[in-house]
This record gives sequence, C-alpha cells and structure tokens, in this order.
Amino acid sequence: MGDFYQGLAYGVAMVLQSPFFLYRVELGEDDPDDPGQRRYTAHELATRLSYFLWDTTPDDALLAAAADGSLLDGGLEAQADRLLDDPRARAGVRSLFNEMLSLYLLDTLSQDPAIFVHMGPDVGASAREETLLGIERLVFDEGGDFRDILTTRETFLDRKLAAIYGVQAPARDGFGLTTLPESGGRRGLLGQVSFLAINAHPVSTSVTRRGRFIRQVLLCEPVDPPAASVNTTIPEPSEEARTMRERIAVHLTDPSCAGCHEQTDPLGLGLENFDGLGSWRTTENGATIDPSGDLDGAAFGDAGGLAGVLHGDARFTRCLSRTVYAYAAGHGVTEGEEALLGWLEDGFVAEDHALKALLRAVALSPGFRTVGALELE
Amino acid sequence: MSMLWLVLACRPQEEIPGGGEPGCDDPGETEVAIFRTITFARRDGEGRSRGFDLDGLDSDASDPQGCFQADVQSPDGEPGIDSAFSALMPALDQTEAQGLEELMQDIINAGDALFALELRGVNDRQDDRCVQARMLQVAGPPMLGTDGLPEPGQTYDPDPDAPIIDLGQVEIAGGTLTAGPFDWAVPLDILGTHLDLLLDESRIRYTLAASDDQGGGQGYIGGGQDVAYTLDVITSSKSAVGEVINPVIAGLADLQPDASGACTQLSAVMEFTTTTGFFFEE
Repeated sequence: MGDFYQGLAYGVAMVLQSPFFLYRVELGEDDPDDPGQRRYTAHELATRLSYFLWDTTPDDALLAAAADGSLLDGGLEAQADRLLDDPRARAGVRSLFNEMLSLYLLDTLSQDPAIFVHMGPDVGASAREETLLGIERLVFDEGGDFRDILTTRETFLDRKLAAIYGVQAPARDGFGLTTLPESGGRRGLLGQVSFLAINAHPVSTSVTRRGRFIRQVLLCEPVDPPAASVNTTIPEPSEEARTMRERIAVHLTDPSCAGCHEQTDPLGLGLENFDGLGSWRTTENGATIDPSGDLDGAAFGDAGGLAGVLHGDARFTRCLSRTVYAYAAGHGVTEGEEALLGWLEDGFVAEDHALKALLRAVALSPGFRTVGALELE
Repeated sequence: MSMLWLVLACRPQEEIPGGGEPGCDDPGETEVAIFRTITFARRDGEGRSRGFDLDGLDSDASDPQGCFQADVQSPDGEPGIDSAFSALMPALDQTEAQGLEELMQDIINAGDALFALELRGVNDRQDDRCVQARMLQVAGPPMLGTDGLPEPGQTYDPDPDAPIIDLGQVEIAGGTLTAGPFDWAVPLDILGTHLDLLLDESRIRYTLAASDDQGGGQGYIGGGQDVAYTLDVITSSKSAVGEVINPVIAGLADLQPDASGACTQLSAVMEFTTTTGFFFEE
C-alpha cells in the first residue's frame, strides 16, 4: 500500500466487518455441572446479562466478575440484582418494550395529515415516550402490578399528546404526569397513541390490526394472515353502513373471513372510540359508535372495559412471561422450555405481577445460562 | 395592503372594563373556546348580515339617528342589525384588502392575537342560566394543526400583559349565549407597528359546539369602530386610496351621532370560529 493512512483505513475496515465486532458471539462451553449440556462462558453471560437488563455492554464490575470466575460461581444473582437496581436498567426495559410493542414503527408513522389534524412529525416520538415513561414508572418507581399498564388512568403527556387526548397538559415543556378523566374511556396502553396509531391504517382505524395486536402480542395467540385469494377491502361508508362495525360486518358473516376475523375484529371494535391517530370520538359519519363486545365470552362495554377484561385474563400474564423470556433468550420458546415458562409465570403471579421480579427470574433461570434449546423435565 | 388601514386604528392598550355579576354556587365545568379564525362579516345574497342592534334603533335611510344608513336584517330575520362595514366587503374583496384576513390569520397563528372565551360553571351546554364568562388573550404561539389553524385541545397560559374582559354572568339558551357590552381590541403588530383593531361597546354571540369533543363552536362580535381614528390612520398611512376611501368610511358611519348629527362610529361585525382549549394550572 505504501501509505500509512491507507493501511489504517484497511485495518479499520477489517475491524468493522469482523463478526466479533458485528455480533454478540455466543459459542458457549461444556457445562462441568451438566455433562452434555453447554453453558455460556463467563464473558458471554456477562454480555448477555448486560444487554438483557441494560441494553448495552457490561460495565467494569460485571467484566471483573466474569474475569475472576465469580459470575459462573454463584455470582450471577448478585450481579443481576445490581444491574436491576441501577438506573441503566430503565434503558433495558425500554428496549424490551420498544421491541415487544413494535414502538420503532412510530418512527415511520404515516397517518394522513389531510384527515388527522393533529398529525405532525413529532407525534411518533411523543407517543413512544408516553408509553415508555409509563412503563418505567410502573416497573421502577411504583414496583406495582404490571397488568395495571392496561388499566391505569395515569400517564405522561406533553402538550402535543394532551391536545390529541383533549385534556389539560400537565407541563409547559416536556412530559408531565397526569391522570386522565374518569369519564372518558381512555385507559392504559390500549388508549395510547402509540398502540392506536401503529395498529391503524394511514387514513382510518383498523379493527383487525388492533384486534390482532391484542391476540398476538398481549395474549400470544396466533392469527393467520388472510389467504391470498381473499378480498380484504372494506366497503366504503354508506347510508346503510356508517360505522366501522357496520362496514366490516361482512368479515364476521362470510365463512372465508370469519375464522380469523372473529378472533380480532370484536376486540378492535372495542377501540373504535379512538380514531386512526388516537383522538377520542363518539360518532363516526354521524352515527353513534358502539364499542361493546366480548373477549372469548368476557363482555366489555367499551375500551376501558376491554382493558379491564385483559387485566384479569391469565393469558396476558402467561404471554408476558413468555415474551420476556424469548427476548432474553434470543430465540423463540421451544417445547422443552414450556416447563420453565410455567415456573416463570407462577413466580410472576406470586410476586404480584411485578415485572422487575420477572426480569430477575428470567436472568437467573437455567434457560438464560444455557446454550441452545433447553431440555427440562 | 394599503386598504388594511381602513379597519385599523392606533390606540394605546388599556384595561377594558367589564360588567360582572355574582356567580352561582354550582361549580359545574369550565370550557375554554380558543378563537381559531376571525373574519369580517359579509352580507348574504339577500343583504342580511349577522350582528347586533347596537343602538336600539331599526334605522332606515331616512333616519338621522342612524346617519341615514339603513340597518339590515339578520339571517334569522331580526331587524335593526348594525353592520355597516359589511357593505364595504364586496368592494374590499376586489382589492388588495382581501389580504387583511390572511394577515389576521397569520397573526393569530403566531400567537399575537389569540383569544379565548372562558365559560365557568357550565352544567348544561344547551340551557344554563348561570355561567360566568370572560374573554382573554392567551400567550402563543400555538401549535398548528395540519389545516394550518391552531390545533384543537391545546393548553395555554393567559397572556399576562393583555386585559381580561369580564363578561359577568351569562345565560346559555339553546346552546347559544349573548354577552356585552365590552370594548374589544385585537392587537396587531404589522411591520413593526402596533395597532389595535377596535370595536367599542361590543356584543358577542357564541354558539357552543354540539358536543364537548374537539369540535368547534362559532359566533360573532359586533361593535363600533371609531371613525376619527380610522380616518387618521388611513391619512397617516399616505395610502393612495385614502382620498377615495375616507369619504366612504365617513359616509357609512351609522352610530353615535355627535351634536352636529354626524355619526362618530362605524358598525362592524367580526365572525369567529373556535376550538377547545385549556389553561395550565396556575
């Protein structure tokens, strides 16, 4: 090459393309306590723990625990507790829910400004912050029942979101904590712009998308995509069918559609008091919206009622345990891990649904330390 | 833009007196309506205009009390409406003065003339005999919606430097309230010059939105523009059209005749639309 800087450029390029730079390498080693099984090396486990709980690289103390062998020799519990008590754990929880709730989609929110007067370039960022601040508060400041994320009337709003919600802004600048009016139907996560706008069409609500989110993300139930031959077009509003409930009635009566839409649409219809961006409305095209419905037989009268039904549904607890575990493990739950999942769920319930306790239990679980699929009795 | 001076008058900002009465015991709800648009009233195809009977007279062109300016009917058929300025609007709409309303919207959007009508003690949005009302300016600038107007549902601070007009106890009847008289000044800062668009002895009629969602209400304010101030401003602006317009303005004056019988004020009506808003906790 004949030139120092050209050589340096090649060297940097090689570093940047190295798999050791691009990926978290997890090859593991034979587990001396469990022949035939592989466990993560101390440094791999330190990295794994740090990324799970802090969403970043291990600090010096964790690296030291890996280096001196204490992390693999009974020191994991102490390190997990230390990381969870550190303010950096908030970033870890934010990352977890950013992924679980697909909040990254808020970066490309495309609600039509010709239809949604509140739409603007800052809506997505504000909406994500509302959701994550509320989760942070519930997990780290309150230590409360995580299911309350579905039903709480307390939330963080800035001036923009307060305008969308039609409530008094709690702060002149930035975000402030406020309590939403009891009289409205806006409650918890399902009443937030983040969920409502992501799971809508650019020009309208989507009862199917909102319902599918509840089924897939909150209840961990599969919803099949429509067959390629199915016409998914929703009829335009007409004098006979002014509300979305009336317009999508065909989904629930056509046998080729009903199989899936009966799973999703009744739940999405419960949220029809929120338009495609998340503003509250009581009518659509001049007709009163009927948000009542049921979740597999559990009746609700409106969005707040739906949130209450989900709060009490054991499937939500089970799903959350499964999602957190899969996020930490970095792979989908295998059949051999079902017993572990049951144990995690039971512990979550026993700890009054405190998410921090679930995070701790996952970090200390054998599935978190073991390379590859876990086989448990 | 020179026609702009037609409707502007220079006057120092001052405290505007109100006419409040004791309130009622039932606290009720508080509603804040933010003025999103302000435009000049125009006459419909039958020559009718929204407005008020400001002088208590149903004048015709032979009435010296109205300076021989005929009052008009409201769209509802109410006689004696004083809305002389609206007679000028077809002509103004043909000139550069049509830009005045765009300019006024720019000033509203910038937060320099953002008004709120605050109603306290609202227990029934259709019929309520006991509501306390006041008009005040709010501090801007507002966030703008995708329609280019102040976004609904925003929270504001009152403008600490602007007067508060206490409208006292008012009655909502059929979803509409009427209040006044009060002196209303729309402060306009144009090209570095502070001007007030003045309506003396004004009345306001406001129809609340049908629901308390973020839909808008609408209404109008009618009062008298001081002719002398208006002519002074036009003259001092050295507008080329001043020589033509001044006699028209003076000729249209229809309120407050002086000892010589010449009317000193020109009745004008401003229409407005509102959206919901809030005030920050103090």
